[in-house]
Amino acid sequence: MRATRVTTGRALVSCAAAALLLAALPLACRTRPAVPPPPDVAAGGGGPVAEGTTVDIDCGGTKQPVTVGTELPRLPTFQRVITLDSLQCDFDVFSWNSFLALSHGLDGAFGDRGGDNVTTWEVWPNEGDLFRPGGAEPPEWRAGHPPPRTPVPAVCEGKGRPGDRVLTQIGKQPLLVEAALEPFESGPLIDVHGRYARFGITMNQPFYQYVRDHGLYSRAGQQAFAAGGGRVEFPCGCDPDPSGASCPPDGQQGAIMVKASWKVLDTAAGDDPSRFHTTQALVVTPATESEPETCERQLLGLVGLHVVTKTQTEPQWVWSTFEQVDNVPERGAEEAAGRYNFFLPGCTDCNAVNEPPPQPWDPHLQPVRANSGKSQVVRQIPIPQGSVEINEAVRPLLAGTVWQHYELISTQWPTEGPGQGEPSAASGWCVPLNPVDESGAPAPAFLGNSTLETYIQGTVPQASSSCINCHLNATLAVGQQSFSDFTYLLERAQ
Amino acid sequence: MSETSSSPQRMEDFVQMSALLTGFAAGTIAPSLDPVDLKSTLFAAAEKGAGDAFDRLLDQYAQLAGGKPVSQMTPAERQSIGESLLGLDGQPSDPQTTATARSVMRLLYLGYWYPIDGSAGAETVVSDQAYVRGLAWRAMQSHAMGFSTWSYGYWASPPPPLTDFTGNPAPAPPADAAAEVPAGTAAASLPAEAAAASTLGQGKGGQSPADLVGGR
Repeated sequence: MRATRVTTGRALVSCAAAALLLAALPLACRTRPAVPPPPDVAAGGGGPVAEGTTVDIDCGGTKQPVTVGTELPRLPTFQRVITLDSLQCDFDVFSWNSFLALSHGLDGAFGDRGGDNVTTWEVWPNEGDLFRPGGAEPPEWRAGHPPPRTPVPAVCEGKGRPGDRVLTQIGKQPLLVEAALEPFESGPLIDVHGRYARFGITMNQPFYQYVRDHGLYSRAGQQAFAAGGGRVEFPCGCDPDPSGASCPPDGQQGAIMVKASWKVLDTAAGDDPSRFHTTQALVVTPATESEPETCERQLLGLVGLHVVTKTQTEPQWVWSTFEQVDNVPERGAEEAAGRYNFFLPGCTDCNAVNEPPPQPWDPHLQPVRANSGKSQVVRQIPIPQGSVEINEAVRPLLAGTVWQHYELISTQWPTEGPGQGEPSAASGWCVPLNPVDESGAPAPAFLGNSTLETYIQGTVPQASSSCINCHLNATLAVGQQSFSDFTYLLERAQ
Repeated sequence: MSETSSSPQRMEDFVQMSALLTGFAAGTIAPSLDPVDLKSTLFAAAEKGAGDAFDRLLDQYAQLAGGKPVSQMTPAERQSIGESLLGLDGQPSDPQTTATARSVMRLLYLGYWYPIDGSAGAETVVSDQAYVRGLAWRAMQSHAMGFSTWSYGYWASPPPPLTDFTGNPAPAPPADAAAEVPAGTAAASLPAEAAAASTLGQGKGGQSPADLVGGR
C-alpha cells in the first residue's frame, strides 16, 4: 500500500481511523471504488475537510505528500529513486495536488456548500473569453481576480443568473454538429438517459496573458507573430532561483489548461447530484438546418477533467486526467447491477461499445429514447495499479465532499530528457524539446479519458489517444501554421 | 543454456547483442525509462521465431562478450564478435544461429520477423510499435510513414545529426585522415556531434538523480 501516514493540518498525527479505512479497501480495485457515505454537512458552513490534511504516498522509498490545500504545485517533486514506476508516482502526486488546489474556490472554499463548492478553474476565462468574435482584444489579466467574461449570448439573455457559466460545445472539438469528418471518429457523448454531454476549456493567468501579450488571440495577430519569426512558447512552472539564472527569484507558475466534460443531471431518471461537482449553466445548442439556436439553464455534473500544466522539465506539458467514478466500467469488469453514466449493463439493443452513436447527431432532439442512439462506453485501458493505490489513499481525505467521487485515471509525462540548452526567460524558463523525439517518449504511451477521448481509446500508434503525440500536431490558425506548443486553442482565433 | 529465457540477464544479453549487431546504443534500443518496452516484444518474437537457435545465439554472444558491455568494447572487439555471430570469421558456424542473427538485425531495423529458413514471403510485422520504432527510420533520420514524434512543420529544418539518433558517438576520424576531410563537411564536425550525442537521447533515468532534483 502506498499510503503510509495521514496527517491533519500541520500537526503530524497518525490517523487510526483513516488507516483502518485504507486497510479495508481492496488493493486491486477494478470496479467502482467503495466510497464512505458523506456526513451531514450544513450548506454554507465550513468545509468538512480540514485544510492542510495530508496523506504521504510512498513512491518507492521517499514519501510524497498529497495535501488538501490551495497551493498549486509548479513542478513535480522527484525523488532519489528513478524508475518508471517511481516517476509515474511522482507525477500522479503532482496531479492530485494540482487537482485539489484547483478544486478549491478562489476564496479557499472546499466542500462548504453541502460538500461542493465553486472551483478556481471554473472562474478562469474560457476559450470564448480569450478568442473573441472578430479577433477583438481580450482585457488584461495581470493579477488578482480573472477578467470579466464576455456577455452571455443573445439567445441566453434573461434565462440565467449572475455567475452562470455558458457551455456550447457538444464534442471535445468545436462545431461537431457541422463537422461530420472529424478525425479519430470523434462524436458526441450521450449518457444513459439520452442527454448530450457538454464540454468547456478554461485557462490560467499565465496562459491567458501570454496569448494576449503576443497578440495570438486573433488571426491577424498570429500572422504578424509568425511573420516576425515568433515561436509559441508558453511559460513553464519553475521554483524560485535567487540568482535568476534558471527561474525568476519569485518562481513562476506555468501555463495551465483545464478541459472539463459535463453531463446533464436528470434527477427524475435517477442521477444523484450529491455524487457530482455540479454547476448551473446556460447550455447553448447551436442552430441546425431545421432548428434555431436554443439556450436552457440546466444542472450539470462534472464527469471528466483534464489538467494540463507546463513545467520547466516537461516542455511537452504534464497531462493529468480525472473522472467521476460512476462513468464507465472497465472492459471485462462490467457489473450487471451497476449504474453508470455512460454504460447500460446487459443492454442488448445498444450501440456497439466505444463507437460513436449513429448519425445524424441532433442535440435538439434529446433526450434520445432509443438505446441504440446512446453512447455505450467501457474503459479500454485499466487505470494503472499505482494510480489506483494513490486514489484509494487520497479518497478518505475527501470524505464529506463531492470530490471523493473523483479519481485519477493517470498522468502522461515525457520520459526522454531534453535537448541541449539552458532554460531562459526567452524560452519561458522551459528546457528545450529533445530534437530527436519532441514527444519525449510519453509514459504511459497511451492515455484517454472515457468522457473526453471516448472513441479513440486503445493502443494503436497515431490512432489511439496519446495526449502528447496528438497535441504535437497543434498549430496556429494562420502564418504557415506554425507549431502552437501543444495547444489546439490557438486555432480558434478569429 | 545457463539462464532462463525470461531472466534479466538473458534480456540484457539480447539488448547488448542487438546493440552490437545494429550499431545503435543499448540505451536507444532499451531506454532506462521505457514506457513501450519494445525489447520484450522483440525478444518474444525472436524466441518464437527461432526457438532453440535463438537460445544458442544468445549463449554464443554471452560467451564471446564475457559480460563486457558493447559500449566498453573496442571497435576490433565489436567487429570480431559480430563476424563470429554472422559466420563471417572463416570458422565453422551453425547456419541456424547465423540466420537468426540476421533475422534479429532485420527485426530491430524493420519490425519484421524473417523466418530463419529463408521462406520467401513469410515475413511478418511483429507489432505496430515494432514497425514505427524500427531502427531503419532512425538511421534515415526520419520517421515511419504515418507516425512522427516531431511537431508540425519539422520538415522545414534539417534533422539532428545521425549520432543523436543512434545514441552512439561517431568514431573520431584517424589522425592522418583529418587533413583529408574538407572543412565544413559533416565528417569534419563529427567530434562535436559526438559530444552532443552524449546528452541527447537519454531518458530521465540517464540523468543523475541530482540533475533531476536539482534546486528542489
